[in-house]
Amino acid sequence: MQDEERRDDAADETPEDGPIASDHTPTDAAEDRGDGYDIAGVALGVLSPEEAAAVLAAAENDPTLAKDLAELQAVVAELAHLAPSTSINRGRSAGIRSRLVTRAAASRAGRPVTRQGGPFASTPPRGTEVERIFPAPSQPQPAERPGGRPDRRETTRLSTERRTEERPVPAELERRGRFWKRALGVLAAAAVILSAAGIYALWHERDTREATSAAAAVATANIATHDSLYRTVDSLRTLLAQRDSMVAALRNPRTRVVDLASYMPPAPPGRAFWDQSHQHLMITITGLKPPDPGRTYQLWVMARGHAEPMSAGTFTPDATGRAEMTSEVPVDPNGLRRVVVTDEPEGGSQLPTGKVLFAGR
Amino acid sequence: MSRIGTPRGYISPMNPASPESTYSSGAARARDGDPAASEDVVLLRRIAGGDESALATLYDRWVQRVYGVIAQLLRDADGAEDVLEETFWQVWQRAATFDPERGTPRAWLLTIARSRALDRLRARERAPESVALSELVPSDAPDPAESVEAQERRAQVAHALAALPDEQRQAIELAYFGGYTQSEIAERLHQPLGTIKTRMRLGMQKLRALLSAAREER
Repeated sequence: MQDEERRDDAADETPEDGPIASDHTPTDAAEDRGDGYDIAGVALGVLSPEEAAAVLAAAENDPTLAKDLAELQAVVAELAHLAPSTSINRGRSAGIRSRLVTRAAASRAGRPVTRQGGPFASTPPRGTEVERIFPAPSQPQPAERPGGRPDRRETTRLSTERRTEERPVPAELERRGRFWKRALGVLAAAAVILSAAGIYALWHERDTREATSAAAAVATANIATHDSLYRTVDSLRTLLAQRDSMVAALRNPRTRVVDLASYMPPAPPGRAFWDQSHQHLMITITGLKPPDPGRTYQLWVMARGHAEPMSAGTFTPDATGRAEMTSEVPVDPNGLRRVVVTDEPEGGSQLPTGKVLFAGR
Repeated sequence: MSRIGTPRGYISPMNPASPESTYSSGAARARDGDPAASEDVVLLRRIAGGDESALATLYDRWVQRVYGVIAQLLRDADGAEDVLEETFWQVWQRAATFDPERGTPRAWLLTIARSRALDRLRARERAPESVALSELVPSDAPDPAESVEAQERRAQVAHALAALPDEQRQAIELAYFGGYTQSEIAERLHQPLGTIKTRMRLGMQKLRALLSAAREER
């Protein structure tokens, strides 16, 4: 194949090569070695995922190839100078920025690397050597690229069709987000008032001894209160970040809403939200009675390309009968077929065994 | 759905803090004291350490350029915004993998953006016949609000691209501006795949040499 290409090259391109092709560059050197890896194809993003993966794997063990590839990627980045001037809407950009920061803060809360992580060297490297140099062009979405030829439909029409399938997301969750923000504010105010009360008590205490003991008591109480408040504020911050992240997902126009018909009257129907961009499935069900002792509720997903239902986790309702859960589900963006809740033994099952309580598609 | 209209020119007005005002390419620039590239390296280091405020700063510095690259490929504002968010989210997750010895933050960031946009474009099952090449390649009228350095570099890149033999330029333009795969380009141009591979390889080598020579002349 490579020989063929080179013959082709000679027949097709020699007359145009001129003086530039005779310049000896590192890229030429890589080609001269006869390894024939299509690094130009990788840099331009024109290869199939399999071809690109093969080149990246080769570059992993070949620093010269990796360097040449990085240089061609820099050339491709240069072409960005020719990208048209397309300004993003300022308000939408601010929204994206805010979501990113919120998600980052939430993920930092759960990640082992802290602010003291320091320079790159001290951070545990993620990914392979090649990944450290450049990202694989198509890594996260193998499922989004079906092997066959694409359906040749007009882009605009397709996007419009997708839009019409989507339904608005309830405003309830946004209101809850605002509630938590207000709750944080109230807690902060409570901390200030408690401190002020302590100082006031001290200021007006005439008897020194009483004042001292009162001060000690207030200080102790204040420290305990502060500690407790800070803990509460921290946990509320985390909760708020999670809520913001959830609201962000629900605002995403690509999030699909699935009604879950109830098979356990009088429980009202539930709802599932399928965030296709991030493969997150959220469910919210109200009026749910607790499972029988030794039992639990389990969420299942049936998806294109998966013969069996996949478990998305178990859950139980809170004291008010409300159940909310978010799961990561590795399903193609358009591959979700059905969402089902069943009654299962405590700890959950590998495959559904109990009766169906909710189902929707 | 809002749709991005026909390209109306070139690089958008620069954010005052935008690193684009001082052009950089190649690891040497960052190492040799290009302040903009160095600042981005520091920001990526802070992001790798879990500092979300650094992510916000990097976003402010690069949002217009990254968005321009994505929107140019997708031509769909909603999709472009999704990909913009995915791009910076990936920056947050993978900042520790950035190696300043192997390239600039600019190339790293734009490579991520382009890869994510291509993923989205191809998942969308776009019809390659639906867009004419003339619609894909932007015109070369300068944007008066562009910084002098950026205008100069844009002119150099446009000049280098124009200096390629037609067949090579066409293949690269379809790849870069159209987001087509190699097979799609071969099919579109009625050429064997091997020929297209060769044209791209030679074209990229020449572009690299021309851009490198143009930079040294500055």
